[in-house]
Amino acid sequence: MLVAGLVAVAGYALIQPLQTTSQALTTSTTTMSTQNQATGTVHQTADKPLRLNIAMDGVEFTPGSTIHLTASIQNTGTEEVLLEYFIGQLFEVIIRDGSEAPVYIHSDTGFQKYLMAAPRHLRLAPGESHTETIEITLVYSRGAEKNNPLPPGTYTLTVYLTAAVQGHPSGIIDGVKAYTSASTTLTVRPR
Amino acid sequence: MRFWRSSGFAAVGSLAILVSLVVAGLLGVVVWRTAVVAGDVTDMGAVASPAQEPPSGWLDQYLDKLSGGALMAVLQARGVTEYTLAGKRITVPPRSEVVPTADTPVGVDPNIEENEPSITVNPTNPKFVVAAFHAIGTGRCAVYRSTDGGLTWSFVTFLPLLFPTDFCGDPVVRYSPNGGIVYAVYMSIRDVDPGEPVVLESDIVVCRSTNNGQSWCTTPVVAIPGGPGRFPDKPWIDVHRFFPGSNTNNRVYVTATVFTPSGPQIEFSRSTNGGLAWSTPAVLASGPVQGSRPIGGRAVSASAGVVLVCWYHAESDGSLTGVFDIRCRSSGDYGTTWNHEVTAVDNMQYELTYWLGPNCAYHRWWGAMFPSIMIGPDGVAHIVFTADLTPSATPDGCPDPDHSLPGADQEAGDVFYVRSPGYPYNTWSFPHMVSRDSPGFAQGYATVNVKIINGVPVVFVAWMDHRVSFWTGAPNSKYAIYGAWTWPGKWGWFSENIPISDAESHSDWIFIGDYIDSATSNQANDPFVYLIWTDRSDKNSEFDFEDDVWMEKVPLP
Repeated sequence: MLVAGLVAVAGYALIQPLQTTSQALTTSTTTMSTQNQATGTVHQTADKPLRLNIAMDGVEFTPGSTIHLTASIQNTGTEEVLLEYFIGQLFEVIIRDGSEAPVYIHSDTGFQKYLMAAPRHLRLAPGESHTETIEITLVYSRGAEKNNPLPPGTYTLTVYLTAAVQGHPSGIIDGVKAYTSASTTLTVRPR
Repeated sequence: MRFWRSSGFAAVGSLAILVSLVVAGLLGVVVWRTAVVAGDVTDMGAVASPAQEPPSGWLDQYLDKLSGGALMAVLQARGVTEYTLAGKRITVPPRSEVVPTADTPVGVDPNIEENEPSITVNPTNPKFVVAAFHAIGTGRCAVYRSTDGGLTWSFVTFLPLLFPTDFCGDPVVRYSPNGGIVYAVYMSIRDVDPGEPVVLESDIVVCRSTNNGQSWCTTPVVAIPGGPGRFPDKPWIDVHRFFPGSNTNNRVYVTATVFTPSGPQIEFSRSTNGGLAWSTPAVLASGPVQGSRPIGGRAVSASAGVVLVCWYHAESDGSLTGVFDIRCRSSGDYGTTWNHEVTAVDNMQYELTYWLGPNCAYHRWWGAMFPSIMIGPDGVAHIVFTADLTPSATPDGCPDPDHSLPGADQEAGDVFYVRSPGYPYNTWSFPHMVSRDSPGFAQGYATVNVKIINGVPVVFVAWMDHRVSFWTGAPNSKYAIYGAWTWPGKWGWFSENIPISDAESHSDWIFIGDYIDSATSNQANDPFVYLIWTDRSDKNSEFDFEDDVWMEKVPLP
């Protein structure tokens, strides 16, 4: 019994760092863009049962305009998946400029990040999807330029699935606690 | 409770873990967890045998390293009624009479995520104890109660919601000063637009029981309303805890953070008829504020009674970075009018990160800055809160690759205490660190309470403590409940930090229910603080959501 106890404790101690440093290993799918709609590049752990897809109602916008972003998660596995997330925070959206500096962080624009309310559960059966539409106004969300329109240029928009997934490790993607992410590009043209 | 101390903690702790594993195997039970399950213990009370030494063997030299509850469970399982340890003769009580100083299960449904518990004990009859907590997955908040002083617990009901499709959040329970009413305050939340995007509303509602939690209201009463442009969040409720009487028994107070288009504000509502009707909320503070709690104090007459409300203020440097304040307002007329705002803790260094470090590896953490408050029978006010002496470079605690900033470290918080001598609570002591560990791990989500022991108002503080993760190689991956106490004449001095929960819980990726809670009765023969917490001692992964709720009665010196 003593040996068994020692082995159990030692084994557990060894496992702990492995459990807590897991990072999302990413693969990519192809970006597809049309004149009127853009879909995202998915950074997806190969063996994860959830797939994140994003789409926008255009690829070119004017400064300060509002885009409608659709984020959809689908259970591509064979078993039900349980997600846990704080209300209003299933997804995070970050827009980065050409130098990869964040210019828009969606959670800056609402109070949901500061809510202390209980988290929610979302269950997805195999093949089932959940979709949310997110309105994004193309302005700076923080700093000295806050609320000023984003200047013309090319930007990268990334959606992060920040929900935790029961039994499936998340990680830190681009400095965000997330299960997976998907990116696309958008262009801001002069008016 | 475990009785080993911080000196030699690593060695002793590891040894005790090994011993406990072996004991569990030998006895066929998990010693830490079975000592207080009523069904297991009641039949053992009839066991009687002559005084005897424990069986010889290597194991027995470590019996005194076991927790009090576990040690008694081992001896009782062996039928031992007396034994000698280090020359001292110890009487082992029958199991049915064991003082429950071991962890006790409250809500342990393996299919429900039970967390964010609150507890209250009848101040005049501590046989009755009531708890409420999230039952995530059901969308409801569960009420449990004990009629044997916390030895055993039973599910009572789910708290009613304002609308049938609402979901429940953030329940808090409190007894009225005379024990006649149990109040539950909570959020009744709904999605008002089934389409997209999601639009949520909430109301802060109160439900009550007049029979020690056996039955509850069928429809809750709104205390702080929500609606378009108003989202009330995380309520707390309290009464004139140590001041029962005709002027106070039906008075009860609620505060919440209300998010509005112009920012968050602290709102206060009061009831003078036992929670049946509530006043129009008063705005006590606005700006970068959150995390308020009310408490009632001395009551002089029908028109003169003290209420104190305290909250977190992010200061001008913003939330989750730099310094923060704890600010308060007091009332001398039962919350009808309010004195000016007082800064009880000014420019406290430093704010916690959103997630628990290191590197945002664990659950939501920043709410641990919010104050827990209590006014004792002497009128002295006590506040505990958490601050991080080793600030993070990033607000959320994650490493920031965009700016090449590191994430938060493992010393992600310590528990601090301040006090004020009396109304109007304009002067406060300097913060005194209560939690002490080295090397540092995270301590937070503290609760403060007062228990009169031999006429002395002992101040008791308990908190979530991650020092127990020292042996894992993954800092802050484990937590336990720790406590310390102080009393008049010893201000500024706290007892050493005492481990309270018998088992280590595994941290979560996003949520462990934030707060823990405590309660005391006013009975001299009940020298306990009743503690309740979210327990994850049966977990070994932060990606396993299922939580349980456990409690313990902590005997005070």
